[in-house]
Amino acid sequence: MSRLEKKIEEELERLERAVEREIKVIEKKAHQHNLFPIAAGGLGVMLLMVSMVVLAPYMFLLDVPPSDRSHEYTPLEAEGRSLFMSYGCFYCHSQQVRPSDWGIGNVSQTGDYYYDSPNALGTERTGPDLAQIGGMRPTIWHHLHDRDPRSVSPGSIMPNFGFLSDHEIEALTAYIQNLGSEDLGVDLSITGGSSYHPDVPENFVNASNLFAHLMKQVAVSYDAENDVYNGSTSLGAQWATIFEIGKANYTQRCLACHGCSGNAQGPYARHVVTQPANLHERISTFPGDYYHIWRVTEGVPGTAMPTWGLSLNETEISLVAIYEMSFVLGSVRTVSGDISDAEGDNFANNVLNSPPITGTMQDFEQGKAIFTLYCAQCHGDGGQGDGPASIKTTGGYISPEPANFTESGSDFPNYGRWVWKVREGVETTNMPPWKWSLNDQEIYQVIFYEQSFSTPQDYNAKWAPLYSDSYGRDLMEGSTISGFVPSTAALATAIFAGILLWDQKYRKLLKTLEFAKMGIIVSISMLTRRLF
Amino acid sequence: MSEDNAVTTSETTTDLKNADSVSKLWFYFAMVWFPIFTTIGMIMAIKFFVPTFLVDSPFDTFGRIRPAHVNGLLFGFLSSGLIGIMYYIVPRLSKTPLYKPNIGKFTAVFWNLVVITGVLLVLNGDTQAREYAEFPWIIDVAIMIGLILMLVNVLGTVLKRKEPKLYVSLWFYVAIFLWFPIVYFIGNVMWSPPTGALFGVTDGIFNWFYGHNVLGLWFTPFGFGLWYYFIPRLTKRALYSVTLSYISFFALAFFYTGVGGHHLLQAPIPEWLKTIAVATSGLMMFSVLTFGVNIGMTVRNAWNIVWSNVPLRFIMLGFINYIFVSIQGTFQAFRDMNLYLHFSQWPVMHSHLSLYAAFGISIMGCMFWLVPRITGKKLYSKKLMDVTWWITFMGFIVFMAGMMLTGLVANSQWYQHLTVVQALDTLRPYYILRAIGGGMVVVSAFLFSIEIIATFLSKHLVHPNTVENYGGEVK
Repeated sequence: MSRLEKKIEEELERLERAVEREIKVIEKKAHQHNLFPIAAGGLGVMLLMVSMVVLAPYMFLLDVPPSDRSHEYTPLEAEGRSLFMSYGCFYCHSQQVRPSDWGIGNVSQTGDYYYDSPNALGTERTGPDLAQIGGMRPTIWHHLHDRDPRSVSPGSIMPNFGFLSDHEIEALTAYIQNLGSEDLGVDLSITGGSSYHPDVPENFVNASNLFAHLMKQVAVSYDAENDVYNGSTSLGAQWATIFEIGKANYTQRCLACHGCSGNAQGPYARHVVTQPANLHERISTFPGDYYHIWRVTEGVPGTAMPTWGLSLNETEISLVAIYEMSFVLGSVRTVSGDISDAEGDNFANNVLNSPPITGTMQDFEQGKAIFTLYCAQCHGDGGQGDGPASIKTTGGYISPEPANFTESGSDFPNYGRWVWKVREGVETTNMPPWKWSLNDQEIYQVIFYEQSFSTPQDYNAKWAPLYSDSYGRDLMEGSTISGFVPSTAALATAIFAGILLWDQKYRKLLKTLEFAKMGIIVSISMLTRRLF
Repeated sequence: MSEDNAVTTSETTTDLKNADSVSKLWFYFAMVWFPIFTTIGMIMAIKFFVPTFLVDSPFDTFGRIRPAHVNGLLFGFLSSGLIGIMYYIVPRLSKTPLYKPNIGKFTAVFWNLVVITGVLLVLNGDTQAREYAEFPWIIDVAIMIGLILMLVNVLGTVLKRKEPKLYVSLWFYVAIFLWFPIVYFIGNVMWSPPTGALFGVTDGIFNWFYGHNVLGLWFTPFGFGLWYYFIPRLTKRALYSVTLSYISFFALAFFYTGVGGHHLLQAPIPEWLKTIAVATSGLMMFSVLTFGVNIGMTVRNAWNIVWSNVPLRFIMLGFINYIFVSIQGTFQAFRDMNLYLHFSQWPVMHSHLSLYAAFGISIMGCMFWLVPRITGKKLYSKKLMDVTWWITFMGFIVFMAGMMLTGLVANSQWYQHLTVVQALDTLRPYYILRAIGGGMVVVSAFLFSIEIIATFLSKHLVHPNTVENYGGEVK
């Protein structure tokens, strides 16, 4: 035994003696008795409770029948299900519709899980609930989504599953597309697979969209990749007119529920019991034009969708349907705002890039009145995109966030784009086309007012020179904040830094400050600019 | 001290060394698993705001590393730490050597090899896909064997005890190994090897019976055992009341067993089962509050000792968090609260508050205190231990705040019928906050691990007659 070990030995013994004394304290409060009553008692009451909460429910639930929403899994679906479980999808996607949930399906029943072992009830909803997701989206959507979720759902935080093979994705999608859809005893092969649509009444079986042929003719000469139209000019003009009329009809009648962009987030959407159709997804599952025409003409029983056939004629219904088709998922308009930006710039270059108004005080006041009447609901009184309806506000729901005019310098690089967006709306958002309710003069006035929300530098650089009236020109002149705050801050920093550099004693402090500064910059940019 | 007494003590000392070497083995594993599996947790936290972070292989996708993180910490770090502490306490309270030290050592190695194999299998996708019960059947069997070996050892030691008095910690340590094998067998549906699951919602009931009782009948009794032992011992105050400890023991055994159903309050399970779950979740307070009052009264005028003794400060922080999380859990189990709070990050916060902030932090304290005592080596650095406490303390507050805010912000939006996708965008800052707090927790885990490893490797012995050298303790 080495010397060290011997010393350790002695030390431990000394320690143990101390322990003995300390334990005496503990034992003051212990009774002298057998282990048996404690062990048997503890085990007994535990087993009693086990019989109540495990055995009893087990026997109680033995004879639960399968519900209409549960399906026996085909081999492909079973494979998809095992992938779903093995990749832990259920940690973020629950599969239970609670009585308090809204707009994701019928409340889950005991029998819904009849064929599931284990079930995927889930405990978290980091992502959407999947209990009744089957048929809600086109199969191709799931294929794209599983490989790269953000390609079809921009805000998603789901991991990419690019490493899955094509077959695995197919299996997974087969499982998802079968989840919770009600089995109505219909042969799904008639409608072509995953989602069920009721039979169309006989008088609509041969209905067709009056402008479908025109759409096809135009589409042939349209190069989607470069966004160029090479066809005949007269045909193009005819198509553009029809599209515009359709848009007008849609804005007047459908927007209230289906939303400006067709994303089912219109102002009334939250007040109807059954959620309006999300046209991005719904239209692509329609078996054909005739179905679309039928749904618009006859309405949808059990929902707030009216019988439009009573107030619109066949032509008008076709026009609306044509416009709605531009919402279909995957069409350029639904993917990003770039199209709208490009159209706006095109408008600026070719039509109008400076205000036809002079920018008087009357213009400003008129613009303010219109803004308060129509725009503040979403964009907020201060133009920060935080109006009562905006998702940025408690109780609001308009998403994506309405434009924040105080920091939108880069969103509006020129005057024409601004006019375009107000006049024509923005398809990817809930911004409506205002040309149906405001005349051009009013649009210019409201833009003038909105420009007053931008930063003084931005305003003075871009918008002030465009107005001939002194009111518009000098709107931001008076506000010295622009120059005063940064220059004061810069001066103070310089003085402070000078003192620190001058005094060697503070060198250390300076280093700390640098770290603190870096920390602040990083955290602010993470929180506000979304660095990642 | 009489001649007679001195001899007895000396004998006991030599015998106890066997038990201590078992503790030491468990501590080796605990100090390794803690930083590793918290780092995995950190990776997950980052994935919440950088969704493309580590997504190129099946092994690092969120759904795979989450069960690895949970099982690694539950059965790796927490169980190893708590069992190691148990092997220190049981022979001392029984005043007898460990029944079978060799079986004890074998169990430590066997258990941890089984757990790491299980975690690797889960990472490879061989999972039963039941939350907290992911381990495949073969691992379940091995864990059952480990549990039975520990039952033999603990029961053997307590039955052969030379001390006629039976202190409350020993009740819990014996009872754990009577309760938990039953819970584990039923909860993992071990009679059905291929899936380890039943059909339909019944499986959910079994799953959550197990899922909550991993906490209630495994970690909680371990925690009660160590708090009942260490807090009176380190404050040098006798326990306040034996009667209260009886109530806490039997209330735990009866009420805690039934609470599992509160995880399924909005799922289509029988209503009467939900009622039982809510009622027992409320009545569980009997156990927690009697225990809390008992310990609280024990330290009633010894708070200065708690503050100046850093290991005890860790243990006390764990104890306070335990009381806090139990009260929170009871309220969360009431139907209206549950309706509001379910499905968000709030329950994730709740489970971290109990497993990490109550048990994990207590284990850190106990190991800081015990490792010098079972090795006779001086603690590597008292300063580092104090720093670790502060980082732990601040880290867990930020960590909990991050998850709590994420949960409340999400819940309040869902409550207004916004969809999950609409609400997701607003959660990002809080996800980042959680990652910052989680990062501090990981740092403290590494510091803890470094300190314990350095102590094991140290050549500096504890200096005689200065009790302080064991770490921050005042005389």
